[in-house]
Amino acid sequence: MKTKYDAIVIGAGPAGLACSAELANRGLDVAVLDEQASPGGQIYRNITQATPRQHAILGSDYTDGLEVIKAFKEADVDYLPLSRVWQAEETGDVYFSREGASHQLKADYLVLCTGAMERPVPFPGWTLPGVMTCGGMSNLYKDSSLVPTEPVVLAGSGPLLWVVAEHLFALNAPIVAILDTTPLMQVLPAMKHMPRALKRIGFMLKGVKLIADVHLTALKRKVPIRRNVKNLRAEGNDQVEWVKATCGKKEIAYAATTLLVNEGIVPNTSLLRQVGCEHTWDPIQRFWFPKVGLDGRTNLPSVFVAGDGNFVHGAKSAEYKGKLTALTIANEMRRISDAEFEEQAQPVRDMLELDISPRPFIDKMYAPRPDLFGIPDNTTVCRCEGITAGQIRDMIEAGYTDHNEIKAIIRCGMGPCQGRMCGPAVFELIAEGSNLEPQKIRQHRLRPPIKPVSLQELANAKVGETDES
Amino acid sequence: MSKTNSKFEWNNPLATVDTVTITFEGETCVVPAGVTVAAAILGHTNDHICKSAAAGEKRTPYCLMGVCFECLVEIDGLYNRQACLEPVYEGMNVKRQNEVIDKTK
Amino acid sequence: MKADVLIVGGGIMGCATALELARKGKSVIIFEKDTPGRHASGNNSGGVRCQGRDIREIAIAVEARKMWGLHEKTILSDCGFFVSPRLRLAENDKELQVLVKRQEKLNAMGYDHEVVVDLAEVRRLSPHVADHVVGGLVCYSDGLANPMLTSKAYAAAAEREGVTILKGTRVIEASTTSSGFKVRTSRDKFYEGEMLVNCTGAWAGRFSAMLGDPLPVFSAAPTMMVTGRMPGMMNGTSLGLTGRLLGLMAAQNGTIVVGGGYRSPHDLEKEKIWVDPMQMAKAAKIMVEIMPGLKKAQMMRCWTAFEGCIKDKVPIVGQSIKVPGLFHVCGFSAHGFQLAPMMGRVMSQIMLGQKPELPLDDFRVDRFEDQKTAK
Repeated sequence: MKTKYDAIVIGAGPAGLACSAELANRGLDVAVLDEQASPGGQIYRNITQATPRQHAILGSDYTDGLEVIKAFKEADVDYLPLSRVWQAEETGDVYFSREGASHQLKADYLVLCTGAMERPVPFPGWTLPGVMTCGGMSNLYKDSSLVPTEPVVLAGSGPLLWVVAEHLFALNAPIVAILDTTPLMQVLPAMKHMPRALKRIGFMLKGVKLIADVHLTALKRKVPIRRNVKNLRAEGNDQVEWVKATCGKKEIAYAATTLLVNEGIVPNTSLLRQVGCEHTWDPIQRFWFPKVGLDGRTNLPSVFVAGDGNFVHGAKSAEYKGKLTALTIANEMRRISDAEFEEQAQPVRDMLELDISPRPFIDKMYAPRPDLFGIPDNTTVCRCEGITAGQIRDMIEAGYTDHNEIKAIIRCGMGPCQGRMCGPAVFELIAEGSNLEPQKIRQHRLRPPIKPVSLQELANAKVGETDES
Repeated sequence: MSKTNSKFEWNNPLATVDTVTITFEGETCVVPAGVTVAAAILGHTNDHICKSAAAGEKRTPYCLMGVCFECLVEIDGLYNRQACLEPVYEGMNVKRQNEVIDKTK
Repeated sequence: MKADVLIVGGGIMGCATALELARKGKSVIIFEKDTPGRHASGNNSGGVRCQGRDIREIAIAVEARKMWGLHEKTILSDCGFFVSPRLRLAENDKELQVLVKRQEKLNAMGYDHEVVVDLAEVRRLSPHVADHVVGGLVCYSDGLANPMLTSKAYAAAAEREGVTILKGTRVIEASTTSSGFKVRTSRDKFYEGEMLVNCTGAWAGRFSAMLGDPLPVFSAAPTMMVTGRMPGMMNGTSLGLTGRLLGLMAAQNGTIVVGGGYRSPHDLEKEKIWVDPMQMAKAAKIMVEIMPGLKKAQMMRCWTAFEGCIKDKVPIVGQSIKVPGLFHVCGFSAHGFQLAPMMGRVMSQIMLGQKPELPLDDFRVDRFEDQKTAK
């Protein structure tokens, strides 16, 4: 393995694949580090090995990924799957675990394509075995063809809920209810973004058709679809047995052993924050996203960000952003001239602009509802350390408005996930309990290693003599 | 036994695909080749995969994409493997971790 | 605005000093550029340790240890303090001799808090240490505390006594006046006081230079890590070594906080530290040798904080020679946390013109000049 590259791309989803292929095709020495065993990211997970049946079930949104995979495979890229990056620095150093050992690589440019994750929203019973995310279920099918055989409830708000419902229906999974938590009030304000969204009328119609199809199937199979659902909770002893909620003034309950939830998608910024990228607060979707231009530039000269890790725009946009980032770096390294850059970047920019045109509508339509984080006091917020909303509210009442300080005292966010699961909730609890504007609240810091590393592995790393300066 | 009490099934029936045999907590699981360790265990049992670091509560995977750390297992003596990211291989020995919990809490 | 005393730096030293002064009737304003506990005070490894201290610090440390047990009464918080004996291991006979000599020296000074223990006692205290260990020196009364909680508790106690803590307020300029000092803050406000205290930690040298009294304080970023839970592994005993760098603190929840003076590159101006994982790799190597069971442990997190250091590793405490009325409490060289309660007390005594209850001669600001003349 080489130890020095022109560019290291972290993440092999659409952005990372497109970016690394483009960089390699411009003659750059490129390595791609990815956690998974095969390329594709979450959206195209396992695409290189998926069966015809999986392709048929998952449809063109999945199968389309074969194109970017093909370009990636044809490019001269050092691809390192099953690599867990646990630290990156603006100096271009990257530390990661692979095959039970720690490694270090260096590059002039780092491109972080860490993608998105589902917004973690604590609710009563969300730690029970049997509760998982819609995307998680989707991944189980994509990489392992695993399908539920016992009653399933889907709950949440956003396109992914309907996509997964469609797949599970096609697989004849026993869905017993779909609980849409989108407030009815949100449809109207979103409408002002409709004209822009209609630039991609085909895409919008596809979305409408998807939801209509799911409704039709649900009707045929007598599966209730509840709207305006609140107070979702899972109950059971060793696993989920009941899914309960309120619908209007009515209490509803379904016997189920699997509850799939999705409350939207947020950028996965752990590595970005650890490396020191500056972030901005999005007041509509209520997440932090890195300050990144469409060309991928961040506040750190050697660090670029592309894909949904920048702002959640979807798979195609991620690919375009990956390409633009590659062109920017190639231009900066003088592999292409300014004129070539402009000539090649402009069409990609145009495609990107068109691709993201429906996003303002979708973002507004599926904005987190105001009571999304109205978490009951006795509900666990920090899954790792078992810290409840009440314990966090007590800290906020005592004057703490910084997750980092709260963590140092009650260990909320101190466990192996390092606040990935509780971070957004703690942030919202602080916003709720203090008078601070969200953008004035300090974000939860991520410290290396962003994934735990075994001491044995660390001890085996090659190091010099102790420098006691 | 390739399936005990799982609430999931392999959509590609085992008879039609290549399989590998792994061990989870001493039990033999026959699973399709190429699946993840998390899927292999979920396809085998409804029981927990790991326990929460602090309180020792039983957990199964939540995100299945590497961010929730609710699927940490020991694989062939290596700790803290995220089961949702590791593909199975023949003869793999998987154990739960965090079975011993913090008694002082 | 005016106060008797202006304190720059709202860390644990500044707040402890302010608290004692306020209790003795002085009006105090603290200027804190971030929030109390933001830097080393709130982010150190939490060691409340007498064992192994520089001989010059022993008297203060022993008195301070008594105060740690009283915090629930004195500042209304237990600070997360608990006893975890600190055992310094000897890995060979030569190292054991070093420990024996240390105990003899301390006994001669009248202290009996550190005792040499044989292998049986080492194993009783810490059953999982490696076979090659031959003995140790233990301080049974040492312990650990929660640094963030402690820093916040001191700040809150000071505020209850009437101290004003100006958070998010940096001192931009400081100068002497006919009646004391005048400072200008980042909020463009002016404050005056008769006395000024430099509790600025890693920034102590810079701050003092503003008043024409440069100090030999340099910054460092000691790097620590914490492991995942290893129930029973440490048996409640914290460990140190005699011939190598390592400190293992046995937290009550089963995690192990690892320190020992491993340092990361940093930029004090930009307030940026680049955690060097290779430093932690060095620590990991030694950990596994000292306690083979730690092979199974995980490095969960690394962190660092800016510390103000002095080459002889003991602090500067007392009045400036060049600028009367300016007091320094700085340069604790990454081991000031335990001393803080007592530092507040002796500072208040000297600032009120009293004789400190313990001599502070060894911490004089001009001790380096003495050495120069001696040579």
